[in-house]
Amino acid sequence: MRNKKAAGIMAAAMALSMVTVLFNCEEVHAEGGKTITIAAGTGWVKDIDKELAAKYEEESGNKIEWQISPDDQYENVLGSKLAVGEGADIFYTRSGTTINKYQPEKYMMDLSEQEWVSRYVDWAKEGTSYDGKTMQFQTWSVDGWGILYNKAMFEEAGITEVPDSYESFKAACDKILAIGKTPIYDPGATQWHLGVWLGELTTQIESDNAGFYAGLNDNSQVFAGQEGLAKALDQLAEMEEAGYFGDDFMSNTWEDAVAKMASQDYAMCVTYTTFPAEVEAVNPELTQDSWGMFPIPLNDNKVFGTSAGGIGRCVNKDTEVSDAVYDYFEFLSRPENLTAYYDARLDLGPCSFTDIPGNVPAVYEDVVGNATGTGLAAEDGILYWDNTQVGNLIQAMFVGGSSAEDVLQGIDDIRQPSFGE
Amino acid sequence: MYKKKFYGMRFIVPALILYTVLYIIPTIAGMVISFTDWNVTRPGIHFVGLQNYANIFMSKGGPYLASLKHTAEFTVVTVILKTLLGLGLALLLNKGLRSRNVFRMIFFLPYALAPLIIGISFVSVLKPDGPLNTILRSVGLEALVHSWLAEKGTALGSAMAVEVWRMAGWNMMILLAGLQMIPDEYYEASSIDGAGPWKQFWKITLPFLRAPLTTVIVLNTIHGLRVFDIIYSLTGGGPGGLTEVINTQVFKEFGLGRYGMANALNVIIFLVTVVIALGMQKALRGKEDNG
Repeated sequence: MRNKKAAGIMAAAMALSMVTVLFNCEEVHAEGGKTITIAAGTGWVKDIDKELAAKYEEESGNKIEWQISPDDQYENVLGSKLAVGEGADIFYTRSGTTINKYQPEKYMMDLSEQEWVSRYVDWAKEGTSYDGKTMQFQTWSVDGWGILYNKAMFEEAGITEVPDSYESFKAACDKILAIGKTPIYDPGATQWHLGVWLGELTTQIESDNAGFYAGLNDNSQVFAGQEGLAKALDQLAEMEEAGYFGDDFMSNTWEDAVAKMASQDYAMCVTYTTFPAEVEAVNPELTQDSWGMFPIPLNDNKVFGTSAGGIGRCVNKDTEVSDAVYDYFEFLSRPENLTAYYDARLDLGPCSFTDIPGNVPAVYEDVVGNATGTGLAAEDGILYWDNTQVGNLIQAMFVGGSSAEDVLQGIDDIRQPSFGE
Repeated sequence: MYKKKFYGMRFIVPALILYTVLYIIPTIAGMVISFTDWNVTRPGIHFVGLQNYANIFMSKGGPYLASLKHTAEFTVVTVILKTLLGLGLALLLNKGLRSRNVFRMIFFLPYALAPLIIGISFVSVLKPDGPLNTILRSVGLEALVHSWLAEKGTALGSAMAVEVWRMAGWNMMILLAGLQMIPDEYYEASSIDGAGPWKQFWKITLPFLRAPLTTVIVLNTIHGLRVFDIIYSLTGGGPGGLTEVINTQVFKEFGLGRYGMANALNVIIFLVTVVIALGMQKALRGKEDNG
């Protein structure tokens, strides 16, 4: 009998402790302030973000709590958390059409009435808008991906004109090979980077056929049968066969790109415009003037595809600390804090606010000068475009024997389920 | 008599609640979700019946059937190699060797490391300019040099090899425990009767090892079918989907916000695992009982 009672008491205690552990999720707030939770991918939060957050905490008494996920898992985590109602107060996403992926009407606060919106530059306002409403606070910069080239190596190889067609591009690659260097460093193992190649070339199709993106985004248009893109993919395969990417390019990774370009073993690489600053940090001999850039000339493309401004911060519609979040954004948008931010973020280009210029890399002006026009690249212009998935399909073209048309059909197959029936 | 025991049903209840909350309910919820079109990019969740399953099995040339095929290949090959290698190591390190305890520890060590760490380390080892190719070149085996994780013919095989390397020691330990349960008298008596090592292995060692072999084969099969971390860290399913397995595909579907399809894939691997594991256990145990 005594054992029975003891067993009952212990069982109840175990159950109670279990319930306590499972359900004791009460949030501890900073004394006298509010806690703002921020979700982001690892690579999107830099030291300066933490420094400014600390400064804000000191000034306001509010507390900033970071919820950082690895970059390649962040979108999974964000999507899952929003779906189950556990999204952070502020969550980072790409600007442009990516905003649509997260059901903005359901999960994002309309920020149009905030004072700082009036100080946005045009591209920032456009890139953070959904249905005429401002959905993001953004301190990033507009940028794009082009062929970065080593000017000295071009000169040594006798390349006097910047390639502006596929034929001239091939001729330049042959000349680089002739001086014993590898024409292009391409991280073939990094799927998203292969997706960037094609994502830049959709800009050309949109430029030649206005409404191409709109058709893709309302699901009345498909990739299959796009001759220009198929031709570009065939040319990409031809370049690989010609050895322009070097041996074992499918083992190359993006993480090695800076070191490889700094080594001067490669003449070109598909990069963003602030990339030279990263190379200079590794090899001070290669200053930002050592580089030039031109649009990816596959399919004779001359259009430079840009982002919609990079990464922005959305406010969770269900946040209980909206006042604190608005206060935090107001703090970050002050000119002195923007200056500190862009001074520390040399990987970013022009500032998203009119208050300060930000950083305008020389190659940005170069690539825009070498282009006939600019437009949104696929990642920010085409709904449900995913560079990693597209890159996976392109990898299959290199190693699995699939065709350019298979790649385009594969992109349609990936996008279609997101539109529903 | 049993009712007077101190522990009883009420001690099972807390564990049962925990198991129900953390395992049974999520499993059932996953099955229910697999019959919906839940997609994070669209509002609303709709019942679509077996549509997700139809998409998986009817998508000829698509990623789903390919990932099922790769999972099956990975499982069959690694189960055979892990078991054989584990058995070989166990026989080698059972008796006789003076430094066997050191070797046992060395062979078991990879299992103690996180698969992700092993994967990341082997990415460096298997790089075109990595240590493996350097060794091959230095001993004149240039013809065997490959971009191990980037070529069609070697990518999945390399991932299998890493998994075998990681788990062989674990197999060895379980089989070693089985070997040490075999009384020496059997070997002594059979020696007197003129049985050689080969006959002793077939007639004494193997029959005694049926139970541990059942365990390692069933567990290796389950590990193989559920493989994720080694593949994810080594190749991410690439290049071009050549090493895509069910669980990396599930991860991608989650990444695309397609929870309905992700759960459908998960249910398939769950059911296949349960059926194969129970079937194998029944078959192998049956032999054990009869033998």
